[in-house]
Amino acid sequence: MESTKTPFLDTIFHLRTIEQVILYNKIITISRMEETDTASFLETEYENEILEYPDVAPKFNPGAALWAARTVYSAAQLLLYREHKISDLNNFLPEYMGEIDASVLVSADICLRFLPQIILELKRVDPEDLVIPILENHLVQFHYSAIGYEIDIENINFDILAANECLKGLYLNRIVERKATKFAQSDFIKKQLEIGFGDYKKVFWPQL
Amino acid sequence: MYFLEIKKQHKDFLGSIRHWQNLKTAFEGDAIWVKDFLAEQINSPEIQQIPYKKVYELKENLLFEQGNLLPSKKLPSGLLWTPILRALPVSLPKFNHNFFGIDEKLEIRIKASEEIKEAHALLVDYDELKRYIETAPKYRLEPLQWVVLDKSALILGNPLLPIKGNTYWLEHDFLLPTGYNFEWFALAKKLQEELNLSKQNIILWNIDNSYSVIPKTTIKQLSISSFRLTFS
Repeated sequence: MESTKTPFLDTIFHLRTIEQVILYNKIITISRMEETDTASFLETEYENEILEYPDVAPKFNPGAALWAARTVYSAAQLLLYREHKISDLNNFLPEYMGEIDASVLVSADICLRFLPQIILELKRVDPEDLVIPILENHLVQFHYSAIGYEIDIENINFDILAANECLKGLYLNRIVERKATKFAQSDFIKKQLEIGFGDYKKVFWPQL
Repeated sequence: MYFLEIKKQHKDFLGSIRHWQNLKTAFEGDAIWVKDFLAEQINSPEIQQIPYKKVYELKENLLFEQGNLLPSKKLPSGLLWTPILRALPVSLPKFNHNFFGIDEKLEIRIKASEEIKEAHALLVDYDELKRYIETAPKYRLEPLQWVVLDKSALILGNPLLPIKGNTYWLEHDFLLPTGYNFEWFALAKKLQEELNLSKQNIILWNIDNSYSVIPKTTIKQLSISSFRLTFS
């Protein structure tokens, strides 16, 4: 494979444009310069997406977006080249530092929406892999990216949806799009879905 | 089991029961036989109106005229039964060569109709649409298309959005106000061929009988971004 000076940025760029993960090397350290470039690229992507977002989209959070990009990148690295000790894993896949609000969830989703597929791939290789519980734990926190994926939804707190109209709209859209019956069990979500369906529940989602 | 017999010269009187598709007819010499009546048909006014007919009931292979206790005759054998629609074809009246009214013109109007159909399009004010669409769920917009007409928007598809506006029916690429149809609705296809032969337009009718032509290529998928980019 041809070499590139910015493997992280290129991987994220391909992920966002052609929705494929391409890894260029085994290096997991990312330069400060590359991080800045990636953050501004993700911000442009975010600006494009919010045109389609309902209501007023929350402000872009570069920290969260970058954290998500790095998590997806590291997860993909761990899937292909496993040369690390188990004790190092938590360093490669740190938890998100900071308070999680609508802006953080939506900004992180720009990359994090691809994580469930990587986890499925990891499970296919080795269902006992210790990376899986770490990543799934991330997804429980960033549950907007996990809709439709099999995770424990009992620990999910839906209160965050009521606080932000845009996130609520996006969340419900994704539940309907992926027909995530499990996520539609909560009373709050059920009520909101019914408001959206009006008389046409049978047209939009007859199985619910 | 009932049979009806009538002379061939009176066959036109059978016109009043020809639409009963269960009936079968057979020709025998000078007579026409009809069978397979339903119980409610044999006593109906349509039958009673037919003159020169004889109605028989078949018992033990003998024909008893209705009301009589003695049989009148046997059913002729070897009858060839065919459905009445085929046996008594309809012929159109001769062409009238003396008709000179061909210059007359019809004015195309729409008028109130009793029909019940589902609306296919919705004409809404920009402000009304803005209020709904900015927070609309994606799945409500996905099945819809739209086009901007002056300060309002025409939304096409099903199910339509729950907002105030005028609704329209779709027929032959005409959008008619709901509750209305063409006064000469049988000519709708012909009218479409006259106004919109290649079907590349949609024609929106107003209640005052005027219409607007909307090229189909200007109709776009409805989405929040499409709305925002159009009105920004």
